[in-house]
Amino acid sequence: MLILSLVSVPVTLAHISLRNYIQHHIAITASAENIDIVVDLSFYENCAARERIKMDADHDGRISDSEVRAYLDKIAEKVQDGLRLSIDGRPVDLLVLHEPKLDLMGFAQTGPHPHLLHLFYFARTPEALKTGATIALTDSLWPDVDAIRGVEIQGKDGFRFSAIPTRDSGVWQGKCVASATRVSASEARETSRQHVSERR
Amino acid sequence: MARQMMKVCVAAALLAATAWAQSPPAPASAQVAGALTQDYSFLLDSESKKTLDEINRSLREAIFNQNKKDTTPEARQMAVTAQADAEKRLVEALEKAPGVVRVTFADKKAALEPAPPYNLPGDVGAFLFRIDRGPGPPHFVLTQVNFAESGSLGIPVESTGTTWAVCGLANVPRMRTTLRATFTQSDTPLGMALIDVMTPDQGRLKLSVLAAETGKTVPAMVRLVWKIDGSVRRPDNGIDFNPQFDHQGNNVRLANLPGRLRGIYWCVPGPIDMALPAGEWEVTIRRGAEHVPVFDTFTVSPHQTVEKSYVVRRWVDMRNQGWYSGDDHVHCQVLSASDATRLMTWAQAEDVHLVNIVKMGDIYRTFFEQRGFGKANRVIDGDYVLAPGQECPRTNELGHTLAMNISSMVRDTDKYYLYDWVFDQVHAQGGLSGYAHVLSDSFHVHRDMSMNVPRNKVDFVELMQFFTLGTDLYYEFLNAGFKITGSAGSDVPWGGTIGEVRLYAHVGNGPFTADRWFDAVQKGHTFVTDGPMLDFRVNDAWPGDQIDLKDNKPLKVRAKVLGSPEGIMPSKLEIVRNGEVIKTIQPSDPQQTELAVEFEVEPGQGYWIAARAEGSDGTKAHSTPIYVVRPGLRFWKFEDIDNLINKRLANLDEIEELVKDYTAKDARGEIDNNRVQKQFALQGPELMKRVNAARQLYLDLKQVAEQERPVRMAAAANH
Repeated sequence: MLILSLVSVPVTLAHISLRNYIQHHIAITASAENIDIVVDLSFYENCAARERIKMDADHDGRISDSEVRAYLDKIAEKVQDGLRLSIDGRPVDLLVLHEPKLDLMGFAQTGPHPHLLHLFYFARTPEALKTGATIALTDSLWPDVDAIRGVEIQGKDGFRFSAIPTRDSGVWQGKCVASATRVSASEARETSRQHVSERR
Repeated sequence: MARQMMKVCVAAALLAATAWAQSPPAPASAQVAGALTQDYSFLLDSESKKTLDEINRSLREAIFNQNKKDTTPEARQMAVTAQADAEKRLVEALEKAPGVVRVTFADKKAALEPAPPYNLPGDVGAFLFRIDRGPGPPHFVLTQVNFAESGSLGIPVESTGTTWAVCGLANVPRMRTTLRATFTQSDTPLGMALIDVMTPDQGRLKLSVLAAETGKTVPAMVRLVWKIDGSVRRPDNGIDFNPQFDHQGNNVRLANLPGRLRGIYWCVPGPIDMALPAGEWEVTIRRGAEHVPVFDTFTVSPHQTVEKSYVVRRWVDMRNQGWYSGDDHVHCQVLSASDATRLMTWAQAEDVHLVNIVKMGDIYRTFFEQRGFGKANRVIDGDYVLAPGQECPRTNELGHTLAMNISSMVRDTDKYYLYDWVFDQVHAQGGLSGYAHVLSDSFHVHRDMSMNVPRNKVDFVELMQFFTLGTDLYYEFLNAGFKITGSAGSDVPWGGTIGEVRLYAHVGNGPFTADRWFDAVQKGHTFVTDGPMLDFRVNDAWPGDQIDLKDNKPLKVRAKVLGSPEGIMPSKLEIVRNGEVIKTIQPSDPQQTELAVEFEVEPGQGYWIAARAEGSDGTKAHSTPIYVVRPGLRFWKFEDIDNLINKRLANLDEIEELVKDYTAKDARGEIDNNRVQKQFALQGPELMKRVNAARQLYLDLKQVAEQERPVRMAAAANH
């Protein structure tokens, strides 16, 4: 792993044995209408250096706003396909809610300095998400880099969840232990739209 | 050079008809709706924010459904219609937005209505331009100008229809600023305008954090968020630790904490007194896991001073029960009294009593220099102590090691892979040896653990880090009958903040001292946590103790997990024996702040037994086990022992394979410039002595298992 990693870092870093991991923090919020997922990826050392080199398109060692935007455009597809959501084993369409954001954490240059990538997803809450259902999230973002993961889930509108231990570190599972009596998600959205229309 | 964000500007009708392969980019309409809700919500009222949020979702859903592989023509047409409907609603919502600026052109000039200057909410802002070019479909544009890089803005306009352009402004200078805006059609200028923007006059904040126990100001972790744009602002006296991070970190500390506690905090040593942009602010104040966090909002008005005084109080005082918190893994350079003072302030702000400040090394060099080691170089302020330690050796081949309470750095690169040599030196100094990152089995730490744990070289392992508890590897070694103390460390600066995970050591009655704390860790009297507080006993034994069975009397298990009435609610308390849950307690009432259990358990033929707990917010806690030992038997998970030992032997095989690989490369002269592999090859013969010694120990354990088998079978038959 280390050997492969060192090949891809600049010569100036090659003498330092850098670590190669990304911290994944995933926050899931499930409500009657939507399941929102925010992923914070903290890049450190080797992989931070590698990604920063990709950002620095003009190779001047400095990472400009426009370079960040070009980098984010490039990785948009990668991040879209990096998460999978399922309820009781059935896939649920997971969509990008906002474009990714990058926080260079005060250091807009190349090098092994940490940075934070924020990803925003959502899914329409399926009818199948009810008490007793299992919700699962498979994280294959940057699969070639070791991941340290933390997942939080918050229920709204009466939803409550408890985590289910898994042996696969890339898969998080939770059991829905309480769901509110609710109209269907599509009805809720329609009601919301009508409500807005009435106000107009 | 202008650096403006030029996202796609595409006619809605074209967008609807376009097909993307698998992951279509969001249409510009969705990007505009999304940016308005996420970044520029100050342009909206709360109802239109909600409307635009739903429009953003509808647009992205419609595009997604149009491009699904198995979509029928009917479904695709429905999605096209849904997108058109959503874009119509978007236009309706934008027409009603209060801050729309209408743009018309004449003589290469752009006329703006209403006319500038425009008042911004602060040093950020945004425009919503409506540029009418006659009949046609709507167009959407998202741009941004960062005044730190440029002072000009380019806005592409379509030849027909109405272009809606959202233009974000960042780092706007104070007072009146003139922005050059150019509206273009196919790169041909339609008109230019000089736009004056005004940032509001600032107000002033005076904020104090007081300890409930003393009424005096105390260091604290403070998060100040300007609600206008959600940005975190650094308090005037927020300490920048970056100079002490030896080029390995940054000045932003993102705490790995649950829910609304997660975020960027600044360590402040005392009262804040600073100018702030006018508007609504949100403040979060933390003082570590034992204190109730403070959440508040306040409004800063131009030329006004807001004075706030917050009292932070404990929801639990673990000191009263003899438990003192620590963090086994903090990297920070300490070369001077001022370095030490800053770091001590951080420890106090997070209420961590013992911080193991670790100088770090790899085979090439060291990082995070210290001015010295040993008792003379401890920094003590009341019952807070900074004690120098080390994270070295630290390799990808065998894992990362930690040492606490050392009197000098132990490092010899000619013996870099002989971790046992380091462990022995550390123990000779009276220190404690352990492994980092065991929770995630990072850097192949299982290899060295398989070599040196059975040789009794290891005191502790890190089970918690980065809001994560990981016990797989830990349980494997416990189940093989090896005693290891559970520990936790933040790994600052890679971790967010000191004590975001912590270990508690039971020093008992009497004054807190570093020596007593290290002694407690050495005895295994610990639990780890990132929130819930544990109390676990079996008979009179503490975690880490051994109960020597003299008879078959049932053992009395007592466990309790505490949560905060205003924060963590314990959601589960489990008693784990040899890795399997034998008792689970869950709250009958979601508002229950304490879960407790008291029950009797048969002593059987011995085992390890521990308590673990979860909070409703995802926080966790785990005790070091209590070891129940029947004379003549190991406390291991006997039924799995073949599998467990075989795993360890396989880990040793991995080391042998590496030795062979690197030795062969060395013989071919391929690794002369690779010290990692070269030293591994050179130290290979010594490593293999240790591998073989460990193999023999495991083979001996297999024999022990065979010797135990009839005893255990007889006991089971009698039972």
